[in-house]
This record gives sequence, C-alpha cells and structure tokens, in this order.
Amino acid sequence: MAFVENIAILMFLFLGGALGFAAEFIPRLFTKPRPTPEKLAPFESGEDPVGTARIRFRIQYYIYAVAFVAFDIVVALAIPWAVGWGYVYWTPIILLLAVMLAVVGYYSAKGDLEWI
Amino acid sequence: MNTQITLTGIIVFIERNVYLRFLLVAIVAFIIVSIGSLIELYIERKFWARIMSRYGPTEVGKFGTLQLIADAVKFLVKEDFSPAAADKTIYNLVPVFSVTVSFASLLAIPFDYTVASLFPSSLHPLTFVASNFDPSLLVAFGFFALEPLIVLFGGWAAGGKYTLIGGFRSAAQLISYEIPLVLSFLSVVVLTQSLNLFQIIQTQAHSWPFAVLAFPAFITFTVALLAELERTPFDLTEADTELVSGWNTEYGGTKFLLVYLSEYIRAFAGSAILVSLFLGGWLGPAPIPPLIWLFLKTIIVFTVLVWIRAAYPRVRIDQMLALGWRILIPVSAVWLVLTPFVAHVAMMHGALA
Amino acid sequence: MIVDVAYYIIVLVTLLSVVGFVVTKDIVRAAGLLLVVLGCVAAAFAFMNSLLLAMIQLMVYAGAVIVIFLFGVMLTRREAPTSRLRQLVCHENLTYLVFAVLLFLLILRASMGLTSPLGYIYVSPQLVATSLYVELRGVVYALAALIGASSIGAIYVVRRDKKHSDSTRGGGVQK
Repeated sequence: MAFVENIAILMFLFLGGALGFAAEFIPRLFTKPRPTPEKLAPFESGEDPVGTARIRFRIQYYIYAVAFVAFDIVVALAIPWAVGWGYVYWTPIILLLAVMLAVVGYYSAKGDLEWI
Repeated sequence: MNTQITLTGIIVFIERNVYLRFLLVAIVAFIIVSIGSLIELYIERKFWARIMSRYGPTEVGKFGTLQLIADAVKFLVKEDFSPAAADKTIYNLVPVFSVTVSFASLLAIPFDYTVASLFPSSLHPLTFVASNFDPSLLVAFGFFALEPLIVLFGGWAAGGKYTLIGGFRSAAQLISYEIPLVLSFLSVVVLTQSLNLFQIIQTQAHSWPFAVLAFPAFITFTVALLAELERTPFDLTEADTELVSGWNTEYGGTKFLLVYLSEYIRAFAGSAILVSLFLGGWLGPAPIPPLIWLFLKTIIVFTVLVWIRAAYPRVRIDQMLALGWRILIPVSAVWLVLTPFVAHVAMMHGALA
Repeated sequence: MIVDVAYYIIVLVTLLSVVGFVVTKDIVRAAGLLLVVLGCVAAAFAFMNSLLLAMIQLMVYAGAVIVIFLFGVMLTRREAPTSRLRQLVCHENLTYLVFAVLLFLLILRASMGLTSPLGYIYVSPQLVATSLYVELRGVVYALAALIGASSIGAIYVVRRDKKHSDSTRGGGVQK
C-alpha cells in the first residue's frame, strides 16, 4: 500500500475548502451590507430578544456524552477485530461489547438514559 | 519543437503528477455530487409535494426545474451579515468547514472508478482511481463523524437561543446514533474482511447482496443513517414548530447556502455509502454503465428517504434516544458477534465468495 | 520533498494552535483550537502511513472528546472567574517560552533533515488486529475493565451533580 491515498484526502479537503471559501467570501465583494439593529438581533419569533443566548444546559446531555466517549473507544477497538476475526482471539472483543451492553443496561435500569 | 497541445498530451501530463491527478478526481467528484444534490433537491421538493397533494415548484423553467438555480442565485446576491451577538470568526468559518468535511467524506465512494471505466484502457484510466485503498470506508466515516462539532460550534457561535438549543439537540442525536452506525457497517466488514469500500463492492459481485446476508445490520444502518442525516422521522433537531430551523436559524445568504449544500452532500454521501455497503454499489446488468448504476441507486435510496419523510410523523426526543440506546446498540452489537457464523455458513453454501 | 514541507507546516500549525488554546480567554474558542490540534495529530498519523490510526484519532478524539469538552463548558456558567490553577497554567509568558523552545527544536529538526515521514512502514488494519487481539490482548482486557469502571464511576459523579443542580435550580437551566 502506498502513500498516495493521503494525497487524495488532501486534494479533496483542499478543493472542498477552496470552493467553500470562494462561495462564502467572493460574493461579499459585490454586496453591500446595510446593517440595522433589528437585522443583527437574534431571531426570537419576532419578539425583542430576552436575556443572553449563552444559556446553561442540563447535566442530562453530559451523560450521553460520557457514554458516547466510552462506547466510541469500544467501537474503535472493534474495527481491527472486524477485519481480522479469522485469525485472532474473540474473547477480548466479546468482553468489550458485553461491558458496553452491561453499561447500557445499568444506565437504563437506573433511569439515567431517561429524558426528563 | 512540437508544442501542439493535444487532449492525450494533457491527460499524460496530469497522469504523471499525482497531485494533479487527484485534484482532477476531486473535481469529478464535485461535479457528480453537485448534479446529485440538484437532483436530490428537486426530488425533495417535487416528490414530497406530490405526496402531500401539492404541486411544488412549477413556474421557473419546465416543471419548475430551474427553481433551484434561481434560489441559489438569490442566496449568492444576498447581503452578508453576522448577528451582533455572534462570535464572528467561528460563525463565518463553520459553513466552510462544514462543506469541506462533508465533501471529503465522498472520497471513499468509488465514483472515480465508475467514471474511469467509461474511458478506453489506452489512457490508463485506473491510475485515476483514488478510492481504492485500504481503510477507505473508515476515511469516509471519520469525516462523517465530525458533524456533531459543526453543529455545536455553529449553534453556539450564532448567538441565538434557537441555534444553541438546536445545536445541543443535534449533537445529542448525532452522538447517540454514531455507535449503532459503526457497529452495523462493521458487520459488513466482517463479511468481507476488508475496510476497502471498493473491495466490498467487488465481493458482492460473487455473492448475495449484503442487504440479505446482513439483514439486521442493513435495518439498523438505515435507521441510524436517517438519524445521522437528521431527516424525518428524526428531524427533531430542526423541528420547525419548536426550534424554527435548528442550529442554522441565524445563517443567511451564502452561509446558509453552504450549510444547506453540505447537508445535501452528506445525504448524497450517506446514500452512496448505504448503496455500496449493502446494495452492490455499481454492480448491475450490463447495458447500463456502472456510473449510472451507482448514481441511480443512490438517488433511489434518497427518494426512499424523502418518502419516509413524507409518510412518517416526527418522533419525540425521548423516543428517539430510547430507540438509539436501548434497541439499536444492543441489536447491532449482538449481530456483529453473530456475523462470522453467518459468513461461515454463507461460504459453505456459496452465498459468499 | 513537498511531503516533508507539508509535514512541518502541520507541526507548526499544531504548535500555534496549542499556544492559542492555552492563551485564549474564551473557552469555546479554546475548544475550537483544540480541535485543530487533534486534527493535526490525525494528519501526522496519516503522514506516518497509518491511516487507520489517523481516522480513529479523528473519530474518537476530534469527534467525541471535543463534544464532551463543549458539553462540559456549556453546562457551567461561562462568567465564572478563572481559578488560580488556570491562571497559573495560563501564564502567557511561560506559554510563549515553551512555544519558542518547541519552535526552535522544530526548526533544528527540519534543518537537519533527519526524518522523512515517508520512511514509516504501512500499518494495515490486519497488522493492528494481530497485534491488538493476539499479542496485546491482556491490554484489551484491562481496557474493557477500565471502560466499565469509568462509565459506572462517571454516572455516580453526574448523578451527584444532578441532585445538586436540582436542589439549587435557579432559572436559566435549559431542558
């Protein structure tokens, strides 16, 4: 396997970035912004905006993020196994997936995945 | 000195330089995805309207086909503005980043091979194939998995309440369905023992389609993909009665155009990956070339997604999360471990090469 | 040659983003710069001819750890004063000093031309599978135990915080 696929990725990123950049910033040269306070206010259904937009969120979101990071590692470790299952041990991956399912079961049994 | 520039000469020149070669591949992919996105948008508006007993666009062009061009031009000539509360740098960079990342995930889809197969072999078309490398499926997915960040940064930077809440909901949804998505495509990887999307399609030439061999994974992948693309019934991140338009509420003009474009590029890439993994990719009866097969299958899958959008109501957020965590993750994990046995049985009966 | 230049550009971007990450006052911008750092690390893995590792880096670190970082940032009050530890760590002069040393080392390394990133052998997924699930499988067992323990431990911390935030709920906490 050669190194060329990296160049392909680079070229795709380059083309996407260049086109996106051009599409966003070139039309600005031809249009004249006419800002008004109403135009620059955040949209709140036509009402005057109330308070700050940087509101705090509930801890509920954090539980999903924690579970996601833990499971993402499990999934990332499952990728090599899926390629080489014919000649490697199965017990580690079965243990990993079992731990994942046990954690899901524990979270749902305790009601932590409930959306209140 | 012969300085005559011929088409063959240009092709040979491009072929010798690996950078130019892959830039050409990227341009071809961009043309294909642009046509694909336009067709998708047209289907979305027209087909959806017909299901709802409306007409959809009719005025501009024949059957309203030029409406999309008119809309794009309108976005491009709009004035540029950033909300006063926005973090201007991040707010302006998020659309560019979004379209870059979505476009990069197209790399793995073998459109370049199907285009190359149309050319005579005297031009060495196979040197132009960029998608045939080992973890190509993973490359597509790695860029696909950056969407939660775009949503979070975009929603936060715009400085509105709707955008921030929409961004958070989107991110929660995207991360909930990423695990089942990966676990289901891994069962196809188990069947072929390769992370190369190219090779996965070639294996399906001599075996049953993986939609049959890995049926549960096909179902979980489709559901997770629907959620990852934020389409109905999982479009509660842009539930218009609650959140106006979700995280991109404050994006206008060309910025909205880019965000919208990247959404459709993602839909196109997602449908193409689904087709390549489970439905045989470019494979099909002979008279129609592979390029048309791959394109047609992708568009048909997208049409089914639009059909689902028209036919089903939106789920609630607790239902959505319960489906992702309690059903899709266990089902796809258990199926992943069972797939080697299926592969073994299928190989014995000649259903898998 | 182009590859070498690109490699050192990426290392330079990484260094600059790290400085920005430490120096910037806005936490969300810091997260954005951290994303750049992690993306550049993924690119460095790709340069070392291990695309599998690069993509797992992109998936797990850039795609997941930044999400947890942002969720954590937005759960807290952003107006909160910075702690003394953060002030100490964020001491800008120290950061610039470390940056200057690293930049000097980088220039030294590049000017000596010691490494070509192309010199690394290709790391195939099959190779990773063998080393992970045959030779290093004990590590995977330990990792499974660690993931289980940390998930259960994290939920206890979150639950305590939830109880705390429920009891002191003012307004402005968004569902």
